[in-house]
Amino acid sequence: MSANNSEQMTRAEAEDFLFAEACLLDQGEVNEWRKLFTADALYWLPYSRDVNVDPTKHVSIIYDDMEMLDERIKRLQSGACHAQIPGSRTQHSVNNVRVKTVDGVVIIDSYLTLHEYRANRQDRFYQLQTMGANCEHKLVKEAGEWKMTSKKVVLLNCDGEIYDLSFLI
Amino acid sequence: MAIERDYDDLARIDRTHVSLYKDQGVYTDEMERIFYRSWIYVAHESEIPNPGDYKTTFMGDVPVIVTRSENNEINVVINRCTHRGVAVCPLEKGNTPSFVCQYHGWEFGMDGELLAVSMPRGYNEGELDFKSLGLVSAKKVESYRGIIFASLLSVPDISLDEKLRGVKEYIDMYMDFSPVGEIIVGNSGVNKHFYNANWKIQTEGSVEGYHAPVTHATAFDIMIRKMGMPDNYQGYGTKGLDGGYGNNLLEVYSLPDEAVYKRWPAEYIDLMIEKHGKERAMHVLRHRFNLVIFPNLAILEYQFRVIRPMGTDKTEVRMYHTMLKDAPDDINTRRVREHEFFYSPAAFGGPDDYAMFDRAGQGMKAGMVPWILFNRGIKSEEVDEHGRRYGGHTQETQQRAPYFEYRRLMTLGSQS
Repeated sequence: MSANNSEQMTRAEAEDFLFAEACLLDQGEVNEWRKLFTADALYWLPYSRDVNVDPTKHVSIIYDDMEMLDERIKRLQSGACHAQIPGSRTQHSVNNVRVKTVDGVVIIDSYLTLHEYRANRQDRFYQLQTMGANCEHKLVKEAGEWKMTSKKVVLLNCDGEIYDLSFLI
Repeated sequence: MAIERDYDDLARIDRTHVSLYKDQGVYTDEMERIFYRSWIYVAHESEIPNPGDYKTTFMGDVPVIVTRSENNEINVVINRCTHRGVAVCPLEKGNTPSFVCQYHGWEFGMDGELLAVSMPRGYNEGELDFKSLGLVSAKKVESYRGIIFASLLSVPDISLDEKLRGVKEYIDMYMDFSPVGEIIVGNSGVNKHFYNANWKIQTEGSVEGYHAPVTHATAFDIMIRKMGMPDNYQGYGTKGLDGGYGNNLLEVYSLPDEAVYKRWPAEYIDLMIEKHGKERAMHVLRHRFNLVIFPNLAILEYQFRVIRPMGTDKTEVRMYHTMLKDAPDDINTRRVREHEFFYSPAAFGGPDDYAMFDRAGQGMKAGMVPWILFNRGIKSEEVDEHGRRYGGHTQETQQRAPYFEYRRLMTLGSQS
């Protein structure tokens, strides 16, 4: 059964959505970024490259429902998340975008290249971090707007040695 | 020429000297006197459940392989071909009938025995002594409740039984959170962290009751609002304990029975009572603690934390998540969620700890400011019925504890 027209998305539209999302994150517009999620959404960074990993039986890097994501954002904005003093600058570059529709849900698969830097640390010489990831965004339309029901980011080094990921990806 | 340092003076009862965290000579002494010659944690048996299973790890800076052989014996061998020094096992874990060095094809059994070499006819009579060319085995390997310890170069001067005597009741309690008294280590995830400071800061920091409401104010806020954590941290009435031989413990809580029923679902409590008996089950469920087995293991509610020194100013920390065998699925899932809430690299607690550890590395560059202080609560310490020193959970008994064993081992070496 094919989905109706309102649930289709072109690659150009998908790219526009991902570019806009990246821009909100990179410009620190976190509250605006939060509004891109549906109320029942999942924000998930698994600890494994295994597509069949069961998040109830395996720890994740992040496995947030929206209540937990709100707590995460509140903490990051509190000024008392010490790992974020000084805070991260990020640059999310999105590419290799592919779109499909499954059971009325638009699924965007993309590659993410992430650069992260913390300036003005007293110890100086903070190593610019570069990360690669596969992203899967699941989108539905709510009141005419595309919203994420799920954002899954699978880092290339998710099961490797990580300094910290105390910023939003 | 090596300088002999006065470790009794550098690691005093109430303070440690900053050189213990910075000096290469101290680090070398620690490797030789602690990490090569005393009980070091290497693995949990559940990580290598089947014959042929192996796991690579480190004893100090020495790469080792922990193996289970065909006859179910646990071996610890140095991951270094006796021919040209090449690591014979290139992976973190796996299953294999033998280890074949891929440089010249020397093949070793799971217990390290040299089984074969490639093109043996190139060796003349007397040039290849199979018996003496096995992988070097740890001098002693023993387990308690599945926790495998080894000593690399010599038999430790105390038995494992003696080493763990003061903290066995807590190890037993940890295992008995499973209705069948068994845990599974690492299958449910491993956090792989590092920080830029000395390894002892994590040993001290794994039982840190004092920092929690300061460093983790944001995490505590959520734990109090959403996870049933009481809102009077200072008034918990719990202990920091010196368990002997460097081992030590921070009691996170000790709940009254009605609070046990708030913390855990009835289904799990009933199963625990059915399997362990009411008295034992309730005793176990009342407790939560962080336990350090000196020098490189910390056992926390959801994890085995393994501390690996990588030089004076870099430390790897691995947190192997633990699952309770035969516990209800929702209990183990809750252990997954609560662990990642606090400890993942994106979590609400762990990254702030590593920020502090990094800053410790930064501050301790000031070598002319000599002392790291551990005197909080030293005047009010008491001794329990087992002869163990204890103080309040926010005091520093548990940070002082490792240095009793540190002094003992570091000065033991100077006598030999």
